[in-house]
Amino acid sequence: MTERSVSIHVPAMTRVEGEGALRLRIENGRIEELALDIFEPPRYFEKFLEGRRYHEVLDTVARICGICPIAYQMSAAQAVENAFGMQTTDWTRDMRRMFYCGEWLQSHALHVHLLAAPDFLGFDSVVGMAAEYPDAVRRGLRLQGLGNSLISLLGGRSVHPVGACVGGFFRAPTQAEVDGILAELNAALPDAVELVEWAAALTVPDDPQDFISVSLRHTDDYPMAEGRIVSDAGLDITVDDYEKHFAEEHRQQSTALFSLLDGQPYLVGPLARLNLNVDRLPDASHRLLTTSGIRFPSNNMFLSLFARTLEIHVAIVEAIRLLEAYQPNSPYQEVETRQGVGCGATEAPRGLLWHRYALDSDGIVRSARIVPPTSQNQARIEQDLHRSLAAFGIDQQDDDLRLRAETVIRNYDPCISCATHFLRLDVRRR
Amino acid sequence: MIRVIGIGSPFGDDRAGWLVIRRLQYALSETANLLTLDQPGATLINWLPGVDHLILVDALHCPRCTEPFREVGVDEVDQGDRMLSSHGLNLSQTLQLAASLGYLPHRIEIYGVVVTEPNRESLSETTADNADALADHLRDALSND
Repeated sequence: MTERSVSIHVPAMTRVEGEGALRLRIENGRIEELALDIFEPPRYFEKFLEGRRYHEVLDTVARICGICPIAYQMSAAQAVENAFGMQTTDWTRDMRRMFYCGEWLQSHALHVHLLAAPDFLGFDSVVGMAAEYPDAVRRGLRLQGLGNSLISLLGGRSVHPVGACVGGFFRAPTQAEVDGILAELNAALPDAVELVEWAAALTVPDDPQDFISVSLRHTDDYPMAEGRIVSDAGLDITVDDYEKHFAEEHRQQSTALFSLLDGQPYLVGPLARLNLNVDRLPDASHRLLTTSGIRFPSNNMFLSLFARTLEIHVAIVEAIRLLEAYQPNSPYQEVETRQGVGCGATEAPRGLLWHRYALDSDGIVRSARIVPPTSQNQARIEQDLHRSLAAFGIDQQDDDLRLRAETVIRNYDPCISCATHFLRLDVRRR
Repeated sequence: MIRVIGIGSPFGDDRAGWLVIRRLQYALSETANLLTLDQPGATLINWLPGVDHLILVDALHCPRCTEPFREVGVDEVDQGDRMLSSHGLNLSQTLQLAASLGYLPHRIEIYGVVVTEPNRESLSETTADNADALADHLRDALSND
């Protein structure tokens, strides 16, 4: 190994959501410093929620992220309903799953085609990639647009949708609206199949690593909006028990918290979900996975992109199933407030998103806690960077090291804006 | 096909782009295809195939502008929005991507409705008047095109 000193500073990560940076210092062939700096200002959403009535929560948390607002709304709805002791109707459960399909579709299509694929095809952006792979990019944009349409069907609009409420939705789509989008979904199915085959053929680094996968697991379905929290290290708990096993800690370089499972870094997101739920895939998606030749569970982080493409297929197959059985119905249940604490967890595109709310008898939020997937992945990202750069070879050229580090980070599709929420106020008085 | 797209949100003066489209709804319904969008990112590209003449309308924060609206070049637009979203594409990148995909319209015009207080919760009278002025301009220009 070359004896040299290298200092790489990527002051602003591109093709990720939010403002973050990377510091890497190598001295005499050893990584002496490696840190993912998150300097986007904290956003105080949990504090904003205190004193607000329960019905304001969903519109507020949707503003945490423009890419995955539905995940925030669905985890919040579940937590508030649990606090009030409400049982949702089957119609609402189905429509929430359908709503979630739209978010997975648009978020994954964006990440796969516009953010991650250029890394694996040797381009610095999707603009360059589009010149050589125009059909792949067109396909990605079509799928992203379809995801947005699916979100708008229930949410009224695709960014920060306003259709969801505690107890269900404000409005049930008409049969004509559903028929229209169902036709679009069926027309998009060949695109989704082609995408999975395309992703399976991509050359990605073969870099096996040891990590713990964590995701929801549902009794019957591939997990989206409900389930128990499980890991491949034997964890199997209800969403209420999350805080007994998962703890967040502050590190100096980051305005986001680092989350650990029983003291260990862990992975959430599409690869973790697929690792833990291959047997819950819809039949058509499972057949597609089998013919792809790629095997899961997998310990190759770079198969996250492939997992996203398979989840795009899952989202379309599931949305078709749910909309083919659709019948307009009463879209919500009346809410009866009561004092209580409720937890909720759903699978955001980037992984497990956990909420807890304490509400008083008038339905006013007294405290809130939100743990987004990027916080949960942060310790794993740093662990992966150490491991991947060592495997790549730290005697590589600086530009190559920088690109590999950025590729590793982007592979997690980090949403930095979601994660920067922690800052605690320490007031000292004399 | 001529397509006029108003970009914005329901909040305060950011509604300006949508307001222009609403003002044009009856006057231009047979001349141009009118659309409102909430972001100028990649989603915009799905609305470009088949368009010959694209007109984009957005709110323009320009405290020193004295005119009600301004036509801006693509290069000017990108000076301010570089850091607003690192996840999505800015307008310049979106149009470059559209060009790579063969979706770029032959003619593109970008107009900003001048707003002076971008953080207002409600629409200001000045912005509403400025949106009216741009709607009048577009109606006259497209009617005579």
